[in-house]
Amino acid sequence: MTVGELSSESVRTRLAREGLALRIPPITVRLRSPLGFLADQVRTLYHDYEFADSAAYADIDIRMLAGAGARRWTRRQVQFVVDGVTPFEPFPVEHALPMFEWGLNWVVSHRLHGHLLLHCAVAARNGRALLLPAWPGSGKSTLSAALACSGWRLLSDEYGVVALDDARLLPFVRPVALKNESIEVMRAFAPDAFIGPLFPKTRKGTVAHLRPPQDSVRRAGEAAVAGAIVFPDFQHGEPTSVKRVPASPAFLKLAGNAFNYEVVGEPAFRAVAALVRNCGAWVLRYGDLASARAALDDIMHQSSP
Amino acid sequence: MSAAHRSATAPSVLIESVLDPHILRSLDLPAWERLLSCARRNAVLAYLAYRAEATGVLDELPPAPRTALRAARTAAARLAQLAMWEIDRVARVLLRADIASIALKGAAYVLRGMPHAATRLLSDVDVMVPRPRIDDAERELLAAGWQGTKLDPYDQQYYRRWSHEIPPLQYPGRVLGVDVHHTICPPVSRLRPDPAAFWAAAETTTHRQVRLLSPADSVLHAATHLFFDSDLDGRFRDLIDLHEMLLAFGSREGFWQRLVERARQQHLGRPLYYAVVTLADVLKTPIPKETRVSVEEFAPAAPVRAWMRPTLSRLLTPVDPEPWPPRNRARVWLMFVRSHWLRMPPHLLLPHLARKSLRRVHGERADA
Repeated sequence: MTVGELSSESVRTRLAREGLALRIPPITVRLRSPLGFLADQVRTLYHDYEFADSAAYADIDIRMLAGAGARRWTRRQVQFVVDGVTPFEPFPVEHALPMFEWGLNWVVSHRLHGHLLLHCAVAARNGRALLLPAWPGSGKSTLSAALACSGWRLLSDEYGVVALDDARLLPFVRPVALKNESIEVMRAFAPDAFIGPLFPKTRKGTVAHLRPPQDSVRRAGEAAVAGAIVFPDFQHGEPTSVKRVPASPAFLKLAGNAFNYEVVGEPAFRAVAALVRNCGAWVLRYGDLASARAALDDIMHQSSP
Repeated sequence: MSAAHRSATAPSVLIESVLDPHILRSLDLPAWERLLSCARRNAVLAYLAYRAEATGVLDELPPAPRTALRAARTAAARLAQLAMWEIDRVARVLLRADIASIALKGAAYVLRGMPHAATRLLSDVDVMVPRPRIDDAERELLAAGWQGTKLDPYDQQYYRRWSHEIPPLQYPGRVLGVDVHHTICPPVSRLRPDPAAFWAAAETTTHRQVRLLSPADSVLHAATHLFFDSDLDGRFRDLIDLHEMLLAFGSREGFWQRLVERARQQHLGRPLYYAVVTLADVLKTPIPKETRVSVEEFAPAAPVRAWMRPTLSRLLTPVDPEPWPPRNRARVWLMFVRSHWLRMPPHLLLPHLARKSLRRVHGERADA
């Protein structure tokens, strides 16, 4: 059963009581919160996700609770509680959803050391994954959202979860966090895509979340073989161009922006080596989504075995 | 899962399972979820993983908790590796300047090769240098690339005048900081061990001549740090360190007699008393009868003892992550006051606390 099949009332009740155990392969996340509006937002964005019954095992247990202390009277706040600790300063209560999303990312990057976690968006086509590794601001979320709305299967807008034994990419499908201008860009690019409420004035500006395509969510258990590595470089108004990157600099760029390369150690080295050995790497400079998408289609076509 | 475990609280299951990991085989998944959460809250998940591994139980556990335990072990092992590297880098600089050093706490457990060393969530390495050389040590480390912590003048002053360490040092781009001490307790506190005696009994290692406190002194240091220089808030982890040391050193010829004797000599009997009774209460650490009897001489007056012993046991039992807001806030607050009381005489303490309470403490940002 999926979250969207529950009534709004039922999601609210679950969140307020035993929690909603969201299946977000490769993990299960339990979310508890008394905040009704958060339950509604979660229901819309995680619409197509399966959930487990409340007695099932969850890997991560998160509570989004109303803030305590004197400030609760002047300005309502929300706290992110994981395992009984609050690793972050409270947020204004209306930013509960972005806080949940960011906080969950933070927990994942501190815990999932059974895999190599690349800082990269991943989308797949014909069973082959395209890795878009990049620092924040280089457009990987927007690019992966654009691919997701163009028939590609979305694996992640943030995490390249690499299996250590065979270097395949495991999906970690989540709502795609769009920031500032990219929200309007996506609305224009894919008018049918569902984008959740706008959260203005967060630390990263205005944020909104694109609901991942139903097919990507349904197939979130299917790993994909890496097909190509493309480092996106958004440059406003620039024409689109692609350039090959040799294997050794590609290795360093990939390993250098992973979340847990040093923690995982030797198996991570082997996984990155396998990735750069098995697929080509490019830099994609682009100024608009349509031509970027065409260039990526080309790269995947060229690099197919 | 047995009926006993179904009703048991996560903190009690955590204690039982680190003492006897075989009980892990009988947990159902909801109990696992609570146990792992509790172990994380108390910073002992990697330790639990090590215990399960050491007893051969790990491979028999259900996949999801096994993955979580292995991941915690991986992360903590990396920190131990970084600690080894940081201490190596620090010792290299100190050695060049002919400054002797003793590794303390986490770094010392790593150098000693204690198995639980690679399960601790280190954030810094601690070294002690002779008091007359502490300024040289700071200067040498700064010259070699470490950076001092940016502190306001009040905190600078606090460290320099009332503390037993200089402000933390950090090498840019590295994970672990460095704390340089010149003794093991704050110089203004009520405890006054003689640092020269620690140096005289210290053991040498083959790692760039870094030394280690003798086993008895290591225990006394950990006990003093926990019971006289911490807030006692969620410090089950520190109790595990003491437990592991006593298990490791306890079989050495004459260790227990030396421990008590040393506590007497160094005026550290009270922390040893608290350590012995709390370990016996919470972790059932095997401590010889004679030792338990002899530390009674270090006990506080009866009314203090009547309050302290149960309070310490309760505070040093693992924190249950479930209740919100967390339990024991009042006791933790009293212990916070006590730790400052022990650290500073009242004419210094009151202005210090007043200043601290006016400050907001900044945590990590979720969107940073």
